[in-house]
Formats: sequence, structure tokens, C-alpha cells
Amino acid sequence: MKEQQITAPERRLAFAALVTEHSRAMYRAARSLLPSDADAEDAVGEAVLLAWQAFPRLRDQNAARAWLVKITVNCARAQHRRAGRVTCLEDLEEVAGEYHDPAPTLWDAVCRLPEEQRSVVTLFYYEDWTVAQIARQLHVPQGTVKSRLSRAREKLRTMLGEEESP
Amino acid sequence: MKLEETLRMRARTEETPLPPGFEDRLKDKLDSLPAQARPTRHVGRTVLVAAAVCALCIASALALSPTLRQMLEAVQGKYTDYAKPVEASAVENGIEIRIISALADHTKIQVYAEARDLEGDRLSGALDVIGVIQPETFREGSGLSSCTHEARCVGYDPETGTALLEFTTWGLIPGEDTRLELVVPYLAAGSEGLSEESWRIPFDPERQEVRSIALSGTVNGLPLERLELSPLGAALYTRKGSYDGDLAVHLSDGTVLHPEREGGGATNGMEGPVSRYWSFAEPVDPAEITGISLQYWFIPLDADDTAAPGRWLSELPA
Repeated sequence: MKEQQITAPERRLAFAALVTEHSRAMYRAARSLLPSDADAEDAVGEAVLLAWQAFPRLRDQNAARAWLVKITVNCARAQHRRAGRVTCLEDLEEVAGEYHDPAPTLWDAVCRLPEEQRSVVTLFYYEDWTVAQIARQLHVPQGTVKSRLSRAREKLRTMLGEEESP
Repeated sequence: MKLEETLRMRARTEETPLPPGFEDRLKDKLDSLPAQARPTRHVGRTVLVAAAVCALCIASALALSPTLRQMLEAVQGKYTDYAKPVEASAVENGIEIRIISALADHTKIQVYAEARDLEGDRLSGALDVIGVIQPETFREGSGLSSCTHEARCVGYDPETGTALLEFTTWGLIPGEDTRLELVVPYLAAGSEGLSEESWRIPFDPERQEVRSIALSGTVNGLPLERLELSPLGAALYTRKGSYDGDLAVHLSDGTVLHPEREGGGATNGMEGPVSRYWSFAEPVDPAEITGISLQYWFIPLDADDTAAPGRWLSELPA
């Protein structure tokens, strides 16, 4: 069967539909790496333009979400570097103080996590990435991803008021 | 329910709030997407990915990282001010190669390009690259037989995951109206090639003015045709073969330069003209060159761009 030719307007519509469908995931990925909504929105915008140029090569539409999130993470990391922000090191003191008010939503709680824990939690729980995928994307060892996830879980347990079932 | 299950369930079911107006602004961006880059030979200059991003992240998207900029200035040395900015790019398999500057005269063309992985982290400091600069459209009867090409990765910035690539071609000798194209058929990190398709990037390099001097006689049995001098180097054109010996350049202040012999090319096979190129270590004003010596054979050059009768030297120039 001859492959149907896609016109430029159809391609635009298809791309726009994909981005719209996954925009929340893109925003979440960016926001997990950047300190403000405005920064995250800038990174999403950059990712949209980059993804648009690369769109003709996306063969598997089912992989679109992971593809868009990956590009967004790259853009957010690049923006983070350009801003000259210091990456939190593993041996730094964790943020002092406890959150006494239970967070109403999981995302609220995630946003209260330290920066390096936010991104691994977002990619692991919201995007279902594996530890290996997260490690590669964030340029950190897998052990680092695991330790960040472990500490994040403890903080989330406290913030969400969750107790382990007996 | 265990915490792990709870977190996954809540991640799936709870909606993440978006900033006010986010969806409207995103729709505006989607409605104003630029034309997609189409790096083919039949379309005009490639639309810039970086230029599109510029709408949101202006200078930072176009600028090299400080690390790569330092590397570029280090490899270009005193030719940094002679390099002309170029903005042309292509994307294959999620990797963008963007030409950023070019140094060129009539015989040598050297371009520097930034490679960036748009989708992952596949680049490294140990990149293998093959690339050629050629006429965008070969014409029948152009007679272009051979050129010399060299490509290498000259730097890598681990912070940005971007690499600096250098492509050099000698002996292309295109016509004034010939549009050029950088073709990169191979880019690999380790043993794995990063794209099955070649990157093809049309571009127009701005060429240095050359001082062209007609020559006569022979050296090593090779008829001499002409000498071309630019701030970048000296190109000797011969027939029936390439002169592969040393070439020294004599300046008006008595200085004798010994430029490094590089590549060359041929048109119409070895019948010629056949070129060989020598690169200066730093910029030279062609007007200050008063002669060349091909080993012991010295050819004086007059100010009116003619060559005086040659003579033998009693010793090689120091």
C-alpha cells in the first residue's frame, strides 16, 4: 500500500494536537527542573520549536509523549545551565524545616521537594521512566537517582500524611 | 496501600495545574510555528532551527557556549577576525549540525560547526566525523576530479553536550556563482553511527581576496600555471601533476616564511590545473610577499602581480 502523503498543514495540525495532548507532561518536566512557572514555560516553548523541526522523523506516535518530555528536559537543563544556577550536591544539608500542613495534591508536595529530588520523582512517577532512563537523561549515576528517590519518598510520605499499610 | 502504589496512583489520577494562561500562550506558539527546515538541494537556504528558537531565547540559542567559543578562538588563532559568520544548519536523527563560521579563499575552505543532540545525550568528546565541502550541484563538464578533505572534532562541552567540528577542503576551485554544500555522511560516537542519512547544509562562504600571479616555466618537470596568495595561505597551480616539495614565502621585510603544506585538488585529472596549498601560521598581507622559492628555485614577484624571471638559490632559505 502506498504511504499517504501528509501535507504541511496536516503536519502542523498533527504536531499541535500531540503537543496539546502532552503539554501538561512537558510543563511538569520543565517545572521539576526549573524554579519558576515562567522559566518552565520558556523551556516548554523552546522544546516545542525544537520538536517541530524534528517532528518529521518521529516514526512512532505512541512514543510522542516520551519524546516531547525528553526534549523538554534537555531544554530545561540547558536553561538551568545558562542561568548559572548551582546544582545541588548530594552532600549538602537538606532543606531545613518541616512542612506541617499536609499538601492537598501530590504535585504540590513534589514542588516542595528539593530541586534534585523533584525531577527524579516527576520522571519516575508521572512519566513511568526507569531509573536507568532517568540517570541517562539527567547525566547522573543510577545510584544517585535511587538515593534521590528514596529521600523524596520519605519527604512525600510526611507531606502527604501517608502511612504504610500494616 | 503501600506508599509506592499510592504515589503512582495519585500521579496518574491527580491533574497537575498549569499556570494561568499557559494553554492560550501555547496555542499561540503552535499557531505561529515557522517553516520546517528542509535540507535538500532543490530548496533555498536551510531554515534555521536556532533562529526559530531565537523568538523565545534570543541570544542564548544562537550563541555558542563559552567553552566552545573559547575552543573556536583557540583553533582559529589569529584568524579569528578573518573568519566570517555563517548561519546554516541541518538536523538528522535528532542531531543538529550548525555551521557557525567559515574561513575561505579560492582554494581552501574551512568551516566550523556545532553539533548538538536535540533529543538525548549521544554526543561525546570522542566523535568520529567525515565531511566534505562540495558544489551544491555538480554540473556536467565541470571537470572537478579531486579535492582533499579533512574533518575532525576539535572540542566538546560536557555541560551543554555540544561538540565543535572542523571541516576543511582544498582544491575545490568552484566558479564564482557556485553555491557550496557541507555534506556530513558520517558522525559517530564510539562505533555507532548517529544517522543513516547525511547532513547536507548549503552555505555561501565569504572568500578572502587573492593576489593571483601567472607563472611560467617548470619545476621538477611540472609546468607552472599560477600562484594565488591570500592572508590564509599560498596555492600553487601546476599541470601534469602536483608539486609536493617545500614552498617558502619571502616578505618585503626580509622575513622568510615556511608555511605548512596541506591538501590540494585537480580539475580535468592530472592534466590540470592541479593545486597544492600551504597554510600560513598567522595572517599575511599578500601585498607584502615579494617572492616564493620552490626549494632552490626562487621566483620574484613584482608589485603589478607579475612574476620576474626565476633564479637558482645557492642555499635553501632559512
